Amino acid sequence: MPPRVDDPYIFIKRALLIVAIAVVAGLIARPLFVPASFGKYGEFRGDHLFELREQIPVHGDGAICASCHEENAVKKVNGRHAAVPCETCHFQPYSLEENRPDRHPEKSTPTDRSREACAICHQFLPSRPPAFPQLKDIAEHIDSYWGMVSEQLPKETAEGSVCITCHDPHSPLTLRNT
Amino acid sequence: MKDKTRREFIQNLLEGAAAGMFLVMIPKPADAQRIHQITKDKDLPEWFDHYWAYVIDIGKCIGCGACVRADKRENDVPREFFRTWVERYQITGEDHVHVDSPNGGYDGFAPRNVGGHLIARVRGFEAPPLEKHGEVQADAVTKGFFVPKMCMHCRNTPCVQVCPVNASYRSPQGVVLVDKKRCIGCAYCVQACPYGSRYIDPRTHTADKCTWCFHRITRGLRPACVSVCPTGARKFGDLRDESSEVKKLLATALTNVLKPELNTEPFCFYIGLDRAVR
Repeated sequence: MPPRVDDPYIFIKRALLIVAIAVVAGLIARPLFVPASFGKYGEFRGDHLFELREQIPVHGDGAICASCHEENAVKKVNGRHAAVPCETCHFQPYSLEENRPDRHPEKSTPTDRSREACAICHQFLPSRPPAFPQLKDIAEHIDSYWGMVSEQLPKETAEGSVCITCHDPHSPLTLRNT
Repeated sequence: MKDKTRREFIQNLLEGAAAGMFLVMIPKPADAQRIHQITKDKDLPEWFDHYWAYVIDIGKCIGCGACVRADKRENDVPREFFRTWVERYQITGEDHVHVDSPNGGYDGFAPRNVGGHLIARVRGFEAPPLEKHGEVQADAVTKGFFVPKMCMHCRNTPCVQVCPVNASYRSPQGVVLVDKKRCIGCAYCVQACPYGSRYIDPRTHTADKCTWCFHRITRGLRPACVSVCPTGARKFGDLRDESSEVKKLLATALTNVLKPELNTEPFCFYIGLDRAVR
């Protein structure tokens, strides 16, 4: 025999009371665990978007170079490297975008002028698009063209030369010393 | 008052539970619509009102790795991890696919064995031994291309779905991000990403990934990888801007996504994607 109770709804009342306490406790505890901006723009901490934005960019984005380096910019626009951004070869810091030329890294930006720097794009690789200008054999290339640009230089210097001895990197089909 | 039988009680319970389920299943407003409403809010800064997408033209990629180097420098990515990397595909015959990505393409790609005289070893990069990776003769390569890879910024995002603390999320601008303050480093997302684009940063022990250079795009700059690409293989733009190149390309070019069968709905699209690419 269960114990006799006067109020037949006592069990439901007790259950509702427990639920009410749980809900109130939950509402009080929620702000302690959930960040304030959570859910503002979606299911994430909204302030994070603003925090991410505070990171300072390292690279600039091109347009600023021409304002000082006009000669090279004009050369580039008319040459085969017209579509190549300055920062592919020259590291251009973001501080310039902020109009802080005093933070230009050096007199000239650290630039790799070696043969390897050109090879990274122009060495022949079977995976490269066939239409892209690539060089399979440097020795053969020098044999064919060295006399064209540097008759006054002995052939021996060719081996140690870099691509930019003959080619102007801002407009590579414009040859130097001609 | 009529006492309930046990049968009736269970019946009522089940009916109530079913009704409760329907309450939960009340449809939410469509995701894109809701996001658009949020970003149309007048009080929000201008950089909220964009919806970004990325297009990679495989036919233009020359595998120079400038994007990988720029990304590493821009975001201070730990040496052994990559937010973006470039894979080289060399296909000989119908289905012999050779894929490699030495150092993520950071040093460019030295030819493994192309015969003849190399211009130079590229940036001190040693070609992997032939016996280890198999020999690919340049003459035998019937089809070759480079595939730059990165976070696909999916709409149906597997990595966000598994995050137990809502640290991973897709922002209203369509960028998948990680809140490092909330991330507990459980790495479920690293396992869940079918594109392998996440890693655990060994310095902070939290998940990290490509952010489309969120700090740059919100300042009006392009992502670092896009701004250095010499051939225009990587393009980034706003789908809400009618004049953006990305929007035009998606409307006119033959595009595809990686692993479409997974229904992740990437917002990084490829032009000229070969069936060999996984």
